[in-house]
Amino acid sequence: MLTRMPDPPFSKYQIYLRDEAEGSLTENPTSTYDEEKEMVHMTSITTKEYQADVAIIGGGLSGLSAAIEASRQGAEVLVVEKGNTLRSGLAGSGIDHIQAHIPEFHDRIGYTTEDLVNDQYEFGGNIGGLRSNTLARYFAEHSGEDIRELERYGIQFRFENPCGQSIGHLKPCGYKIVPQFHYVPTSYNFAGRDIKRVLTKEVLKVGVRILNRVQVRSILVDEQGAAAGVVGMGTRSFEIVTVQAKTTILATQGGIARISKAGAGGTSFENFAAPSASTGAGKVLAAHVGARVLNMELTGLIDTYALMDYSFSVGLPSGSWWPAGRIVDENGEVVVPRNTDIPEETPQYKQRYRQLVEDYYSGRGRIAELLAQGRRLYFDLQEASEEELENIWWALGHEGKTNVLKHHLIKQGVDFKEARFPLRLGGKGALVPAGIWVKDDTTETDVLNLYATGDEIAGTGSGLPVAGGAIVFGKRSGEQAALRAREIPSPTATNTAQVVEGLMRQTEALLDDKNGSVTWKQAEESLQNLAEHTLGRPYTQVSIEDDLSLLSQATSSMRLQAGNPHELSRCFEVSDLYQILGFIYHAILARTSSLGPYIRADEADYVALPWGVATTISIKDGKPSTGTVSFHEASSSKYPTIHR
Amino acid sequence: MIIIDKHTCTGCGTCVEVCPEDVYVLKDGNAFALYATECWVCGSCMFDCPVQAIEIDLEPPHAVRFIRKAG
Ligand SMILES: Cc1cc2nc3c(=O)[nH]c(=O)nc-3n(C[C@H](O)[C@H](O)[C@H](O)COP(=O)(O)OP(=O)(O)OC[C@H]3O[C@@H](n4cnc5c(N)ncnc54)[C@H](O)[C@@H]3O)c2cc1C
Ligand code: SF4
Ligand code: SF4
Repeated sequence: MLTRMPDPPFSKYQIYLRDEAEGSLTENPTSTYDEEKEMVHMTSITTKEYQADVAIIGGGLSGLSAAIEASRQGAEVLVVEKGNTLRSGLAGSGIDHIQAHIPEFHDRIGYTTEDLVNDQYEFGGNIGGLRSNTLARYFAEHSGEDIRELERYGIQFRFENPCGQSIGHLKPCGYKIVPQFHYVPTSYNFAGRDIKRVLTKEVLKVGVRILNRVQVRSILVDEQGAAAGVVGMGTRSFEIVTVQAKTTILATQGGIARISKAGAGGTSFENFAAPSASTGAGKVLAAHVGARVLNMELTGLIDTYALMDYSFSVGLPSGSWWPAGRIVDENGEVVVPRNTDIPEETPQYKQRYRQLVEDYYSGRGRIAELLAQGRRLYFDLQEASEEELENIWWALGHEGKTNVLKHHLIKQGVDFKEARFPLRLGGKGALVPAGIWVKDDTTETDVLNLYATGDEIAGTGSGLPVAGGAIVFGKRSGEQAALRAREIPSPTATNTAQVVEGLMRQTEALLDDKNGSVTWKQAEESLQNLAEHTLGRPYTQVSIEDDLSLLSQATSSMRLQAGNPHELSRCFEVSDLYQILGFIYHAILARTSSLGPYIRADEADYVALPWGVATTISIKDGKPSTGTVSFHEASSSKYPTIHR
Repeated sequence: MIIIDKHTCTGCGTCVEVCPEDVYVLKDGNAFALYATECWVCGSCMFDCPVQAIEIDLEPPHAVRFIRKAG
């Protein structure tokens, strides 16, 4: 089925190894990074100013969706992106499925909008997050339409049993759906490898301006404390960018994967491994203007087991592998059976999904346990049908990093059906059910004129519906921010000079080689060690207090040094990670009782709090300040939904 | 692992433009992976390079450990 490609003639290639410690493959290994690095000695820091109705921080899936919608509502929009919107963010190199409730499809297989609301709510809780009925309902009611907008942009959805003919084409009649983590199957397969390119094109088409390679460092405020734009620093030049805006949207992605080594990018194909986006920037930005961040204390570093990209989805009701794969031991005994076909027509269909998901969660623990005992386990596709193999092969070509895996498999000449893929225990990956508090489905935070969206909203971040949530709430925040902007005559920031001055001083300090000697990489590694030490095992109030003082000492004595704009931007990311770990410690200390499935082991007769009460953290007078918020029944939207 | 075919690379700068991790610079008319250790293996440069001069592959030891034929 797969053909072997000729080995590349290495001598003619320049090869860069990701990890120099792992040795080289070439005659001319390029291990001369340091010499090559042009240390740009500080020349001068320039400034540049922009104005917009709506400023969007982060041009990922949600930021670009927000930009399109805000522009449709007549707003002048500016997106500020750390990388380049063409390929930045978690979906940068593609996604292959997206969640939505498409009524005509779900009706056919027997699920109602109510089923989907309940399902999202339940899973928001299981995985962590806001568990807001309001957001779940908004998603259930709007996702079908919002997601199909991608089709209008030319993204090909996959259809099962094409039926009927239209003009020159096979007319599709049913979306290809993959169950993922949920009791209700809601993930539609689509060809999303270039989704960021497609969205960028649409964004530019409607006249949105994009500033690439600028890392936002602060949100501007007015006298009342309302958000009024952003200040950022170039990642390729020492340019401080100021955007004065009437409303501001945080679309920075909620993850903090780089707090753990396993999550910090790299070749291990775990989904935890994330791009540089995952440094918690949005939470730090939000907290500093007084917005509350939820659930930081629920951050856990959990054991992962990995097969390339599918750290916890192997052969189970999830991911593109489903339902074809199974897990066997060294003797070929089946440890986790493959989830065979579930005919839609059977009465057990709905129950079957529930069972599958529950088996999946228990299987996940079991696999990690067996691996920890030293058992050898393998994932294989030997029972997969040709159609299933074809489906997986297709999907591998679209979901980001799996493309690289596919390329590797082809190069190795691996027979996909015959191969056994060894599972291994991954490192500790950060599971982050935390996010920025939004008061209701308007996505406004508790800072006036500041909206949060995508993975950054508690309850969708890490709690799914991931890309679907990013598109749906992205659109929503764009619409709401644009409507609000209409009421504001002009941007009103009053602290611009002070913020720019602060950033300039910080930059000068980081660039001054007399000041320090610690590289961002060293600082990141120390932080990861500390995080793993604390969060990778049970902790107590006392141990957290100790760790917090360790962290404070480390933070105040650390002298980071950067040599050029690139390193400067990494230093900023690392300093965000230090703050994030502090947020986690403060929130742990603030939470004194169990919550839902998160049980405090030191409580003898624990009474779990209802899910609707969350610990919050924000910065008040320069210090972390914790509290609680009750959000079980969030209020309804203040602003009417404009024609959708 | 980033492999750049120097002879095929035209120095067009696409990889420099798209890479989310800011890995590349142009040097002597070729793409140069200055910050190769920061690559998150997304594959973007590989499929956006107009002349297929870049290959992103799993690096040892992962590459050999992952794949084993049955039997
Ligand atoms: C390998 C992989 C595969 C996935 N596959 C799927 C899938 O098939 N289906 C699915 O539903 N979900 C999938 N996901 C998850 C999905 O991609 C994310 O949920 C989604 O991209 C979140 O959208 P977002 O806009 O919140 O964040 P992102 O798309 O990550 O965008 C955040 C943006 O903010 C920018 N940014 C961050 N900080 C700053 C700052 N300080 N200043 C300026 N810009 C900043 C980042 O560079 C980035 O572009 C996958 C994720 C990964 C990692
Ligand atoms: S995209 Fe390809 S051709 Fe263009 S500079 Fe990069 S490697 Fe060279
Ligand atoms: S694979 Fe992605 S992160 Fe790595 S160099 Fe290419 S574009 Fe950059």
